[in-house]
Amino acid sequence: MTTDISRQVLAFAALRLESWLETMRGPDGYGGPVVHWWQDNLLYTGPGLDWRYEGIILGYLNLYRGTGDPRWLDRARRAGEDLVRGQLPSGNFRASCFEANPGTGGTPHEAACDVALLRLAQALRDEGDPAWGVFAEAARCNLWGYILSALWDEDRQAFRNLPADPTFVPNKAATIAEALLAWADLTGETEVVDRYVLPTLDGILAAQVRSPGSPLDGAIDQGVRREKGTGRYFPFYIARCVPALFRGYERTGRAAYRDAALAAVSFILRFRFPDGSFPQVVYRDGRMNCYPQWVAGVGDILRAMEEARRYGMEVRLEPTQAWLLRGVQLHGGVATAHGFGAMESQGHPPHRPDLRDLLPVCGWADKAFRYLTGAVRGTHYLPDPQSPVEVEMDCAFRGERCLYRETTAAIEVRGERGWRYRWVKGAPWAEMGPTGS
Amino acid sequence: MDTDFIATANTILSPGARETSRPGVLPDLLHQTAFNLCAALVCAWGCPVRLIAGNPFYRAELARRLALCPDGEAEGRRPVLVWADPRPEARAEVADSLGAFLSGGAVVVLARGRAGGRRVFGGENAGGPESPGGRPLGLEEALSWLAVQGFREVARYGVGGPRYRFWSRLALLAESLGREDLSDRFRARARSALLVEDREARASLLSLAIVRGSM
Repeated sequence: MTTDISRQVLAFAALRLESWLETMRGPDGYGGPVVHWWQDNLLYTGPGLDWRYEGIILGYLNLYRGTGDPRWLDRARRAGEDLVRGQLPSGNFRASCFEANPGTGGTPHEAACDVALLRLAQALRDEGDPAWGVFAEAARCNLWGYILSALWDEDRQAFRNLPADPTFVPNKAATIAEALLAWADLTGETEVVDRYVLPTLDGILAAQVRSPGSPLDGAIDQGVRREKGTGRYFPFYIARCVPALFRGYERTGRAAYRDAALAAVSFILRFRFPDGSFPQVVYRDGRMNCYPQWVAGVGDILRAMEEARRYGMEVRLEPTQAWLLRGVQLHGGVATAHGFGAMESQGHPPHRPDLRDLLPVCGWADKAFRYLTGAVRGTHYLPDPQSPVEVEMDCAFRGERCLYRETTAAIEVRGERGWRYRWVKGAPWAEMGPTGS
Repeated sequence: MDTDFIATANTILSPGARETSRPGVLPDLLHQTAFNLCAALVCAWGCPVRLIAGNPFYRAELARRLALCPDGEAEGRRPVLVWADPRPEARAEVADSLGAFLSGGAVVVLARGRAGGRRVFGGENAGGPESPGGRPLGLEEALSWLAVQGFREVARYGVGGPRYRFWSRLALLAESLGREDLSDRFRARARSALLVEDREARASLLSLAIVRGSM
């Protein structure tokens, strides 16, 4: 028998997280510092029109569908308006590069925004709201103005990582496929499916390890360049390939897509630790770099696992649900990771969390939000989530013991001899103080 | 990944000036960090009122970031001049502007550090109307000249110091030996050493300094 954490517990966490997300809104959208495996960006803190909008908008749509309360649809619309307002004449979105903000043309970020815009358009159209056309048009401008014109390689029948980088990155291409499938659902135009989506899904299949009996069976390489994979398999990124593969199966009936999605989830589950967490990356020789382990980001892994369960796979969600819920903080935000302090050594993480572990980041919290909101139902009795306005936690920052303090108005990190980092919420730039060493 | 850093040649590359306006073409990690730090420092110190840049790439990237700073005049914030990729030919223009910054204002200089000597910023445009020719000034040269004008250094940062370069080289070596796991750890070490202060800043590929009028 499968036992999951009760929907009501997940739902309450979703509403608390929503309260925290509200504190991260500035005049033009959701801002805040970013930490990531590839690089951190603690300095740019203005609005980021990147993949955070995917989880935020789709999370609000989950809340609306689950409860029928129109205020959630209004909040989804408000977030969609951030994207429309921040769209450039080229179709790109301002500050769409997440960890590389305020750059533009970010991948898979702009496609993730398109997924959100198109699902929002669908929801509004279903309600008879004529505003749906504005959001659909914004997504169309981005898809045809940038993604199909600058990223599609007709000769290779594959999407590039970036205009000047021909690497095929399956998780990014999967997000584009999701956006194009959403476009096809909304408009009935199926040409994009045949021309772009199916070759993309075939490319993902080609990047997948199929070696029955091998621990790597089902893994999808992070990138393929000149027919050669990088030899890196990230459970989180593999999970982000799964929904597109299932959608491809549903649309075409090609069992290979469904089987690839199930094999991918099997790989992810094979490498799950008893506490419900996952290694950051598994390498072709079976070695691992475990840290940092995503906390908020496992929302996307849980979604993939739930989809696999709908296709009959036996999946225990509870350990990973518990791992996610352990990251919920007093103010409702969710910790980003565990073990950033061990990223360089990959030894046991220090007892004191790194700032980057406990720092809640909109572009990670959105993944938790999207997953958790799927549990909310109007029939639930949920008390108003009254979050504390002030949170203080011990942390390590650049090798120094510090105190992390977050209020509805600011984030500040203080060392023994003064502040080290501070951000007034809504401001486009944070301040970095002198190091304590 | 910061693939634009060529560790073996101790050189950094940047997109050509024309490419900077293309979406999806990003500055390398060193420049992203330097540009973001420059904007963050300027906004923290006051309000950017003048940007003098030695090449269009720097001008475009910095102008976009500095435009995000709050409106300083309305709030009575201190005026800041940004001098990026300083060139000898720009000294006259900078000198003409300095009077407004002597009392209470500041100048933020972004230039190559001692280790960035082989780098020619905006070299692809040298001689063009948008990019004054001539050898870019190193940070020390620019600061010496500003000192003569009555400005003293109050803070200095480096991007891409010796430890960053060391770990970047090791990451490339590990990758070439098929040890991607070690390569990723070394890259993480490199990134944690990317931004430095004080003595290490002098030996960095890129350097930023804040100078204030001594009046």
